[in-house]
Amino acid sequence: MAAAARADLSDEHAKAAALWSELVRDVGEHWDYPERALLLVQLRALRRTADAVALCRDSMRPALFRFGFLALRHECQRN
Amino acid sequence: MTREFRPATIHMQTYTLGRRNLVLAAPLIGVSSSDYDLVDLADRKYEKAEHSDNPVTQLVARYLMNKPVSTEFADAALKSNDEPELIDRATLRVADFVDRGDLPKARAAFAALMHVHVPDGIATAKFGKLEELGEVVITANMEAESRQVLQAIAASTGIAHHIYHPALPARGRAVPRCDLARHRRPVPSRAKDGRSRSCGSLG
Repeated sequence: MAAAARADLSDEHAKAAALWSELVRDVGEHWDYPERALLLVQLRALRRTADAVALCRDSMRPALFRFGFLALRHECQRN
Repeated sequence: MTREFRPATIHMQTYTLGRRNLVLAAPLIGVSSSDYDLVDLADRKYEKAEHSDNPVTQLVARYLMNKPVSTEFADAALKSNDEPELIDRATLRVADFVDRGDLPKARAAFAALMHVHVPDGIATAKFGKLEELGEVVITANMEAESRQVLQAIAASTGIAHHIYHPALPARGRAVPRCDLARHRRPVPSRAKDGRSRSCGSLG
């Protein structure tokens, strides 16, 4: 996560996207809503629209609901 | 096994639910709580969940199906929880305003929440509740609010905020970059002058 944050801060979009993606795939106990939001930002920066849409589609049918879902839904609706 | 065993199983529950390992999640939930609806939600059986006897499950199902939810309905559902806490309703209010795209109201709701639950920078709420609030404001890219939540966690627990969520530095640059250098060493929550230690002028 620290490496992902560093890549993010350095605007290394591809590296950050890869690292956030890896974290999101390794599902955490709260379903990683902030990490999903961060990954979405990077995918959009890389113009990987299809991946962004797929991330949102998956995120909007979550395995675990947290209030962060509502914040992520707002981000996803900007797709 | 009874409900009293739940604290020992809660993380196993969330991990198995999150990974949709329902074969393992079901007995964990079944033996330790009445929240069996969580399995239906994880299994995307939202319409079934909406008709649950549990008002919280009904509420979640409506959100997941993107159905309208009134403030009154949400408040009543959360009040029915086994351990109702005002901060849950306040956090939901922040998230709901974000969902509606009304950031000014989300910020106002957040400020009101902090006034009640984090007076003088020290949280009276449980860590888990602040954690969920933090997830909302980080996900929503509410930078100043994210700083405040992590400051409150740090001040209230004695553990540096980045330990709880290293993702925050990247989200809207919410924490100054110098925090990244601290990832490996927790800092005391309080400096000698009684103020929370921070990097620069947080909050």
